[in-house]
Amino acid sequence: MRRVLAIVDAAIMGLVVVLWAAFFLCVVAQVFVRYVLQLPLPWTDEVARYAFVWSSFLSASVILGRGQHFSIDVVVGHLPRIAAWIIELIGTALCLAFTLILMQKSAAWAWRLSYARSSVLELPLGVVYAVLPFSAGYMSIHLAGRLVGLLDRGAGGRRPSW
Amino acid sequence: MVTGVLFGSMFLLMLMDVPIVFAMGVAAAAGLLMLPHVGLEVIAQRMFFGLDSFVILAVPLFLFLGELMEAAKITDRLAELAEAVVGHLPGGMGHAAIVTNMIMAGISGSGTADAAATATVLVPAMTKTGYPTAFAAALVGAAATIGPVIPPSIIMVIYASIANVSVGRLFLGGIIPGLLMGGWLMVLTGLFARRMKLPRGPYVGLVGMARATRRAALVLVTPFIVVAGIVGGVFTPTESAAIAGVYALLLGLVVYHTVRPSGLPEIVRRTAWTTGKVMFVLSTASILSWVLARADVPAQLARMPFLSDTEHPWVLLLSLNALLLTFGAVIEAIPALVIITPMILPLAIKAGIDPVQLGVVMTVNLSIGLIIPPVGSIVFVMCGLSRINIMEFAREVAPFIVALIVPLLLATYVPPLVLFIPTALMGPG
Repeated sequence: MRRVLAIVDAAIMGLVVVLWAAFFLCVVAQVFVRYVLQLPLPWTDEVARYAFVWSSFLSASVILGRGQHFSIDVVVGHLPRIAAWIIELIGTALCLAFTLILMQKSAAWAWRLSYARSSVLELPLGVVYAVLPFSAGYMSIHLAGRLVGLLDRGAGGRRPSW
Repeated sequence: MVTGVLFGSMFLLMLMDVPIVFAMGVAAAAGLLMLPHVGLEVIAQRMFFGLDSFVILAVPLFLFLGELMEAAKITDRLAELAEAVVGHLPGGMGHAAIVTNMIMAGISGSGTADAAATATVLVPAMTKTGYPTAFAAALVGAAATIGPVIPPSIIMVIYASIANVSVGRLFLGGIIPGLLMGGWLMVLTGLFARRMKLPRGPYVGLVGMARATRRAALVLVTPFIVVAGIVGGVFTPTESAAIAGVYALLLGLVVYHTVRPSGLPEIVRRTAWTTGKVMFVLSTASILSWVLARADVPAQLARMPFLSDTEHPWVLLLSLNALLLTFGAVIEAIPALVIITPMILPLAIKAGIDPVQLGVVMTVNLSIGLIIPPVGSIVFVMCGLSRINIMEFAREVAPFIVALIVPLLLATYVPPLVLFIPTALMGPG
């Protein structure tokens, strides 16, 4: 399971790098075409914004798996093991509840808007918004893994880092 | 009631080692459930639209610029220049470290990136000339807090997008406070140098200074590309950040040959990583600020003691500074910024405080928070790179933290220090 997640993480980060590069090139192209060639290039703005939003949410889901989001662990680190374990369980379960709600709500929202098109390139907005349910789903998988790991190791086990 | 649940659960979750971004999200969802006539659909919409803004696009570009500058090893050239100019003063390397950070501040938009880039070069150089490592790390860390204050600045771009003020004005407003921070740290370093008998470097003369300036000249152009385009109204912040990115790319790839094309994916990956971290916080914060506005929290805050005193803006500013310093000491600058700004801004405007000044004061304050142990992000960078423990660092950095309160109070209580340059160059707001 851990190996599969590592491969998916790497694949997502590869996609993130491509999307980020596309975002950068679009902003640069936009500046060049607007100021040097004096022409408007409206599609670059749309691609840049969507590529940026996609790369941000996708990398956020991988970052969660690696436990790299900002967090404060000084308090829990000083608690007795059993208390720390219970707190970690509750915290992880709440995060999982949040990502599951986010996945369900954003999927419904993307589905409802699947007929709508973006203003310039006429991309289906449902596809653009699909990054949210996808990332939230992947976050849920990581969080479920953390929850299972916590239960598996029991109160005496080493505390997993975020 | 909603306010209590919202903040109570948010802080409780943060203390429970829940990542800050989820503490914000779960608390906001709890708040949403308590509001009448709204559903949880808001979560999905706010999270997407929270990022769908043109100004925000400048943030990843500034992050990219920071990564590029570090990879291109431009700090060496800046440090050489700073040493040639101020190295012969008492405590020479210390002054050089501060000046290097002030120039870096004009290129990159992040204090943490500045700390990483300058620490790798300066701390070993200072230790070699006889500075205690922990003291050198504390000094460089303190100097790196100028990073977000002198433009460009990621904190300011984010503030501008929340408060809906001009990025150009904020950038210009940071110049004098940033110079004050640097100057004040140099005064302090002079005092320390005398007491600790720190060595001074050789005087290289005008020829030496000219040579060092020429070697750094192409790097020194970057701040002007970033700031001039925005202030002149020619480019948007996003566009000038992109132009500066291309310029830095050319410097590293073609001129200095310090960046190889094969190394670019790694630079992009690191940038995208930090972008994801910051943007996820921003997008979640936009649910939170929606709930706060909907639950009328600013109006409730306005009835709290100290914050309610809109007759005396100085009381409001003092309590705001105290609140921010405490907040900045326990959580990261960007989450602190996105949580506090939507609450405090309406109060400040009512009290007649210019939103540009408020933004600069918040930036200075949160930048100081970056070096407050144990959680400031510069603390981690310095302790990691210089291999010292947090306690040693804390002891040495304490006087610098206290000292930096002085420029903070000046920026807070002498508004012309902040507003003079923006008004002179861009007209009255």
